[in-house]
Amino acid sequence: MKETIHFVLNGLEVSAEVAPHHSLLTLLREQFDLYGAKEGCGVGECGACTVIVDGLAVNACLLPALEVDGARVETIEGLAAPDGTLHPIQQAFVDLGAIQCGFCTPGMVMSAKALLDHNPSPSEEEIRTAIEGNLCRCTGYHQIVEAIKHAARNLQGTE
Amino acid sequence: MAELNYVGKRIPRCDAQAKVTGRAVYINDRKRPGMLYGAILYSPHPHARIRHIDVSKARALPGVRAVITGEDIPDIPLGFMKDNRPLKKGKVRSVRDEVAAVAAIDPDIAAEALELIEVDYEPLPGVFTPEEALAPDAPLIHEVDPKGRPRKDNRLPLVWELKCGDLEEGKARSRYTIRERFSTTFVSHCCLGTSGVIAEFDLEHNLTMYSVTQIPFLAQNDYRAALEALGLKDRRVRVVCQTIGGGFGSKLDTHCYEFIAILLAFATGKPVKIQFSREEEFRAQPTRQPTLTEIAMGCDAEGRLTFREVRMLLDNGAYTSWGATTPSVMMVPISSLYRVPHVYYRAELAYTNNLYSQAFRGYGNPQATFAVESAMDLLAAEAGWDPVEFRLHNANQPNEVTPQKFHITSCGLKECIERVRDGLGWEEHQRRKATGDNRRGSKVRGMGLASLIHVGGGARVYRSDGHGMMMKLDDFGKLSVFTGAVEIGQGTISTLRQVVAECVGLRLEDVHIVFHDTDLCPWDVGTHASRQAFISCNAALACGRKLREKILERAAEQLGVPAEELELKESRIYPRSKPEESVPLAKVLRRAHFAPRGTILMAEAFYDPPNQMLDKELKGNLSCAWAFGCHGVEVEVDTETGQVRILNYQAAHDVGTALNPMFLEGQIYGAAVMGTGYALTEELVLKEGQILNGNFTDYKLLTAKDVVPVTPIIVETHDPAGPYGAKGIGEPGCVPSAPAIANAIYDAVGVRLRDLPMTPERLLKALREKEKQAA
Amino acid sequence: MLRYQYLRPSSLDQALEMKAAGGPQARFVAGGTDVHVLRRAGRLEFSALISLRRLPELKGVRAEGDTIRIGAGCTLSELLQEPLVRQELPILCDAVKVMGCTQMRNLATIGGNVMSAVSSGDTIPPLICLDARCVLVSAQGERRLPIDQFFTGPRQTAAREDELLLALELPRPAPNQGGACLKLGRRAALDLAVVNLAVMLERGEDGGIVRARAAAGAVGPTPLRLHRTEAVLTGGRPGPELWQAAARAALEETQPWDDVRASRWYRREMIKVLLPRVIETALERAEAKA
Repeated sequence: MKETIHFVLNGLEVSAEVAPHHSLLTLLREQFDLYGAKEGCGVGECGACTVIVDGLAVNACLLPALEVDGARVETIEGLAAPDGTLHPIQQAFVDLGAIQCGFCTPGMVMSAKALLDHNPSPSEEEIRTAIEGNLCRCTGYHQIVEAIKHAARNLQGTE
Repeated sequence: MAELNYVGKRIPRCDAQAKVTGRAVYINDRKRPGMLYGAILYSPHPHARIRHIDVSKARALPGVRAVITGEDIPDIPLGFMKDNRPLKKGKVRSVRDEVAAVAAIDPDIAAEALELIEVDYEPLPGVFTPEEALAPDAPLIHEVDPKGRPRKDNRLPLVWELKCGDLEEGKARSRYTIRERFSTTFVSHCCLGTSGVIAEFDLEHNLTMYSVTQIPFLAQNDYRAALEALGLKDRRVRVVCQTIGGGFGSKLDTHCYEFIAILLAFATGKPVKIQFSREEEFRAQPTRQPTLTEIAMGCDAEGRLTFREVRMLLDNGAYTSWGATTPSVMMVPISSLYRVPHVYYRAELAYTNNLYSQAFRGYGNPQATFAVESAMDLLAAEAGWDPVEFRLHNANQPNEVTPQKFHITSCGLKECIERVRDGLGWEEHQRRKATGDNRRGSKVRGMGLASLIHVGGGARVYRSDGHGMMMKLDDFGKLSVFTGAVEIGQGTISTLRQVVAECVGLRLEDVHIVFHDTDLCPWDVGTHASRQAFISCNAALACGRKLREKILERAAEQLGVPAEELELKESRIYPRSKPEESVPLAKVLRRAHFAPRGTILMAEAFYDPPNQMLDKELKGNLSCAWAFGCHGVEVEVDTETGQVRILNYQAAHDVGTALNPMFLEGQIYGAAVMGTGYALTEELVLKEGQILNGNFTDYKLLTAKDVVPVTPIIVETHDPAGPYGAKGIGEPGCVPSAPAIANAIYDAVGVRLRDLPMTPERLLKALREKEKQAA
Repeated sequence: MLRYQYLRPSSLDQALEMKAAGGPQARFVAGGTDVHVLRRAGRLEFSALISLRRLPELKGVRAEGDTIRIGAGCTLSELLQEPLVRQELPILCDAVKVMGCTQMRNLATIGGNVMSAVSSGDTIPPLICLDARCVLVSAQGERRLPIDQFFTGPRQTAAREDELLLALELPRPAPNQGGACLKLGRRAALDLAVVNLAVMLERGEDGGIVRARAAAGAVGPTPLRLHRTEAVLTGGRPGPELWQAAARAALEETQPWDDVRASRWYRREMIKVLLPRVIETALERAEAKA
């Protein structure tokens, strides 16, 4: 039995009809054609589906779509400006080599954004904690951590 | 080297924007109009006869468009020894055996349909180690060979044997000898993007595969063979590469699921997509080749290596994929890491009811180097040598030929070892160790290192190691480069773009690489063997030179200046003596085009490197250039828990030239972490043929919190055959991690771990054993 | 493919009504980080899920006199930010900090962790040491059960089929009490415990231990309260001899097994090695407060 939900998606008010067993991930990918969040495991163990709901990074594969009724959802597609200018976190990932195959990248960036939105000057340990649930098989994490540090400095205006 | 605009610079990837905005389209995201969803039913038993399959209920489920089993399909032999089939018939030999498949209008219905398929199995006794498989009364896994002849045992008719020099002479000359055994086990690639494909026929039964393969052109051959088996002769096969969510060798074979997608597409007349779940990825994506190794090594009184004798028994699993050919690369360090004149290597394989293995970054080199480099430390200790000195003493030098007839040209091994030694603070550590200052409470620190040799200039493992390239310029000075390379995340396309811009003389933004379509792109053997930068960039130099000549010819005509006096740089052309008179390339091109008997400018080249296939004795210069490196690790062992912490990880690589240092470092960081996981935490646990931990909860990949503090050290030796002097890096980075860590653990606590992974439990057990023996 | 209803009550009363209407096949769910994983694996079936995410009655951490009340619906992240938890319940912070990962802690609740009743449930050993009581509620009313008697078997609790966990109540730790918790895993995040050990000590004026609580996870079919270990520690003189005696007692009253994460042997060795470390940290914290 489908229900209609209303929520804010990347700053826009939207609505959708969802079934009880639909996850937020399925909703984003199948109904809104937002493919950035990916299914890497489906059980919240890899972070490839990470999006931000009411300011918190969550695994979209585990959150039922019905639970975002009335919530504010941010995905990777909402980060860049309408004119295409990348968000500082995205730009830092590009500039510092933090992307290889790119499959983990949207989730990684959203975890970073959730962190920097609440903690603008994180330590390296706090950065690694923020992305501890985002697996990456390609990069060894180093350049990703450096990119997040760089983005933090940038956002603070100290770059 | 002359001042370069792009080569050697830390330029961001050209696909970074698409990936960081969520726009890149992976197979997971790809859809085709009218597409159906395929799903595969796997065997629950490691060994069983299939008595009967009833698909009637599945077929009747609304939304199901096709259900197929091994009985419904033509014979399509698969795999290196053609002992595999897309759907198994008669019996199943492992839990990853595909027994039936469905195509339905949505994934949920496809999953439901699988549950409705009833299979009547008669379980059979299984064998789960190569030794068990070779026991006299072991049940036969394949009753007949690929030619239909009865088999008498589970031994593969494939024995690898390499003889260099005279083993007995080598032994006779040895003052010190060690002998030890080592083992490595099943590990999974764990690409974040799971495998998938969309198979689609057109109305004339030409096939398009939307694919993640690393070998589009070799895959075409395999798909064509499948079409022939379906009675479709002489059809076109097109492979369209998607953005790939990780390769690491997992896409070097054509897998059963790809053929199942083709069969379902053929049965339904619709495009069919198969997309693995993570559980499926662990189950049905073949692993790294496990090994059981015995190694003996000797040196003379002066510490020079005399012989190396290695014997391996390999678990081939139920069917044969590239795992069975990894001995061809295991030979590389066995015969040629350090100078050792007398070498013997023999590898045998046995079928078992376990998972089978395929290519995985390093292709056997990590497994072999674990044995060789652990053994080096054992021998150094026996002969009274410091491990660093022992390696330097025996290090390969530039311009040598190894016993396996590899022609080493550039070689930075010594520098790699020395820089690692310095980066670790090796001497200081030895001093601290001598006074017991490397201990604090239950924690003890140790250091170890290990080197590597790997192919760095292509690898002629197929009849051709070549790479075709085409270039065309348009009227606006924009260059399209058509290459057979595949981007698997390593940055090869972006690197190629830099090299093309550099060698032709264009602005980077004027160069666009087209690489994803076999209809457009010329043949390349595959993205493997760390070859792509070396090979594709050499192809670019050849092709680019031709194009540049054509450009300058036209310009010379138009400007009235001899071509030799013209420069083409940053998409502008000017006489060298008068740079202020530059004209845009685009203008020259348009003038050449829009004229009577006009012309547009294109060029092509097929670069086939001057390397050799291994001869009957398995000798020959397999690669045009050889990559070297050394990893050194400082560990802290908690002797009470067996936990190992990595304090310092120095990773030095002789890369010839760093075409893009940022990408290089990315490869080194990523591979070192992968190698550390291989060494310490990763294991796909099989028990009686069942997978116990086929999920991310219990298969332990390292997270961002498991810090491995890697310092990449780039050593540039400017290889004569490499494009701008570059050699390969894709695989070397994960080759020496395990032995470096094993050697560091030994240095710390005097315990030699011989089985991967070196878990805390194994280390603790070994520590306790040692204490007991000392008492 | 399981089809089910997903209900979203906005009050406790509504939730309990829905449960009464749905019967045994209707299941409460909060963060869902356990339930959805089990469902996907085909290990759990239900006709309806009743989401507790919006119930205000399940939220919040409050001090009520000498009692701290933790709403079962507090997410793990919320707990780590609660000043009361950070300042007064470091033993619980030790455990929560290393659970899962950031994303999971943003969804998972302490109530969900307790009700999952898995032996390796990370919050449970600290809650046992804190003498927590489970506040259960159903249409029939409220009742309280001490948490150390709450687990009856693997994934089984003493809660009745129609009850939900409303809150955890625990006595506010005294100034001379210190607690610590250690999780041994196989990597630094996204990990299930190989062994969980928690200890809470009350330090007497002469530095001796006047009261002890000890608990272990992943070394038996349920999380275990270590009564014998507590008895050994109580009244004892702090020092390596006492720690060894405590470890011996812990070995007697735990039943670790072999599984894919670790062997029985290793778990036993880790109890021997790690229990002293946890005890020492707990004692340091008790001393620091004094």
